[in-house]
Amino acid sequence: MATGQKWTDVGQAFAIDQLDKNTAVAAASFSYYGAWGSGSTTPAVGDTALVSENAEARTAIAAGNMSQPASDTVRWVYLITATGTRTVQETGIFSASSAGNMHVRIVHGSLALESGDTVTYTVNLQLKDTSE
Amino acid sequence: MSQETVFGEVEVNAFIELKRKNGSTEYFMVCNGENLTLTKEEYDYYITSKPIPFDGAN
Repeated sequence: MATGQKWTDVGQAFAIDQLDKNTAVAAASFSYYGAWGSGSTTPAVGDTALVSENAEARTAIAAGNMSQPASDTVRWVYLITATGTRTVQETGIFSASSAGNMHVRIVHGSLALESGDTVTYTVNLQLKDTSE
Repeated sequence: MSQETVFGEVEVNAFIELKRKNGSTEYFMVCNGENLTLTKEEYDYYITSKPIPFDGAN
């Protein structure tokens, strides 16, 4: 069982809503944003925010920065630039540029960054039947 | 009537490309909260191929 990355409850609920004709929304009506922070608390499916989000603005993830590297996998790619000395140890994918719902939270090894350093995250979410 | 229960799996995995202002670049695969250092060739392989299953189950 992985300890470092979680598809959150709200992320799962969003996916189920998108499968339901009663609740699905058009692609143009929702957005994704990538954020980072310094928190190292083990992710849990009930997480709704990063533990300690850093000051940088969240990066909007355009449709062109999403793909399906396999038919059962969705991928988000986003770049964040440090605007000061930063410790980065977590990242999340959100539904809004502030607050919003957090679909995924990932904790990784600590990165000590200086202003101007950039991190490109590539996050894959794969759903599959265990018989595959 | 019989019912079949199908259990699915979720895997979340992540890769990091860190570009330093001094021009150097570091590559990592995130696994269980740790950064596994990759060469550029390994990073490119993982990014351009199908995601590999590793201990990233939800």
